[in-house]
Amino acid sequence: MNVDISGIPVNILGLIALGCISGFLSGFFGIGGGPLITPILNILFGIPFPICIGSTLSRTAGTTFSAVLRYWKFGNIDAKLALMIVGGNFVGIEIGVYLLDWLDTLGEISVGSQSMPALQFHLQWLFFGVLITVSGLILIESLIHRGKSNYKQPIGLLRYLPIPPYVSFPITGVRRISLPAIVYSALVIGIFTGLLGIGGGILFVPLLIYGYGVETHAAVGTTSLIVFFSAAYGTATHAMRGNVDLWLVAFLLIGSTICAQVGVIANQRIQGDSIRFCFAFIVLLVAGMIGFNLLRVIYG
Amino acid sequence: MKGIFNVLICLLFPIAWGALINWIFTFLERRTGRSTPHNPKIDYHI
Repeated sequence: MNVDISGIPVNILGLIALGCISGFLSGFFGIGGGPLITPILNILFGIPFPICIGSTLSRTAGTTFSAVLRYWKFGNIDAKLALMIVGGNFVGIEIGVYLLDWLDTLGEISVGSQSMPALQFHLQWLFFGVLITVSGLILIESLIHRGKSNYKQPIGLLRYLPIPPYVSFPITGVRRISLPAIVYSALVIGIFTGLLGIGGGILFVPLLIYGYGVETHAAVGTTSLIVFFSAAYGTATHAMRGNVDLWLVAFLLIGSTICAQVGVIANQRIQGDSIRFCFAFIVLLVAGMIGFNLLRVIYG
Repeated sequence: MKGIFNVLICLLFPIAWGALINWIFTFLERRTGRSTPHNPKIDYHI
């Protein structure tokens, strides 16, 4: 049973299975799963990167909407902080999509003994770098806090930046922080969203906690709203370029909706330290898969 | 010239947007006399 996705026949059951795995990861780790799904769709299913990115963003917008409603009910969302961030984030997404278009115009490059699209080669390297960095940081963080019961909330490094104007966020307990520090850090993450299809969950949560000094629950809740806006805007921008395939989104959503609940149940039974270790391991696994694919291409 | 204009927009728009959101929320807080409801579960560390 195959479905045609931008001219490539793709197995439907394979897509549902990938959706199922990504849904489980979303429920288990509380992330959108974009950085993991996008390279897998490209490497295992052979779907072009722009279609993978646009469709993954569309799927992320769908899955994070329910999370936004849940966190809003708990009072964990700082709407002021989220709305302030999306301005810079949208500009970043536009820059990212522009860079993607530019990479697409580079055509084919010869790597090793074969030629491949320059876009695919460069994006695989970027994904590899991002995933290795993220897994490394999570592992270091887990090792530092492992076994420590007296967890202390980080103050937030960007609070020390003395660039006016300053703003405050009463809900998340951030009294004074530089506005340029907030909007330009969001702009940089937006570039990754537009270019790689990363909704920003794995980048925004650490930024809010360690950069702004936001309390963890509020950081996760606020991030869900930011990722929803960011993924929705990214979807619209990519859809205008014909990069969103609705069949791909539908099959991924079917699998992820069912298996997200299983992930949430599994999450309740495992300790926080172990969850972070598992997450770092899975991110490392996907990075390894991309690295192996790159080596295979380079050395034939 | 168009490139410089685009770079300026990219640099200034986020700041202008942030300032606008800050002004709107400050205005609403003054108007209602309170900020948005606090979550009692959040530990205010400052």
